[in-house]
Amino acid sequence: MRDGYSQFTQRSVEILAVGPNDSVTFKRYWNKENIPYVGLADPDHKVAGNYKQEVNLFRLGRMPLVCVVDRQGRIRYAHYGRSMSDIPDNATLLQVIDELTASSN
Amino acid sequence: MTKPGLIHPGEFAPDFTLKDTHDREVRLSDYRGRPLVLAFLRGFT
Repeated sequence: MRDGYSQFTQRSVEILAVGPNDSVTFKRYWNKENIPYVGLADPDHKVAGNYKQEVNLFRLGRMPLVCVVDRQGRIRYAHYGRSMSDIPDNATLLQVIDELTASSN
Repeated sequence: MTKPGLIHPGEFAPDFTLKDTHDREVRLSDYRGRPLVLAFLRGFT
């Protein structure tokens, strides 16, 4: 997502990344990696829980979840990763976004 | 092909307020009016 960030901002689409780390760790990582999009610390995992992010004990951790939310605040796409690297590519997300834009959602 | 217990397209995204890396409070509903990508990370050490 990071390399194609400008493709999202060109479409006035913001990326919010929610993670289980505390705010200090989050800040340090974001600065170190110079990540351009919004990073949100969710240390008590409350938001992750509301979105049903899956935790796989065998794979030792949280599984990735990526959603696209439309202008009205409705979820239009949700991908629950089956592995740590099972994350939708930018083209998939941009296609969903372009379809929303075309239908004025 | 919908699995129970997960969120599905068409549902409203649960609202939340969290702090960003600049200590600003970010509310999901503040972005109403434009599409948004919401990514839940694994976490880092």
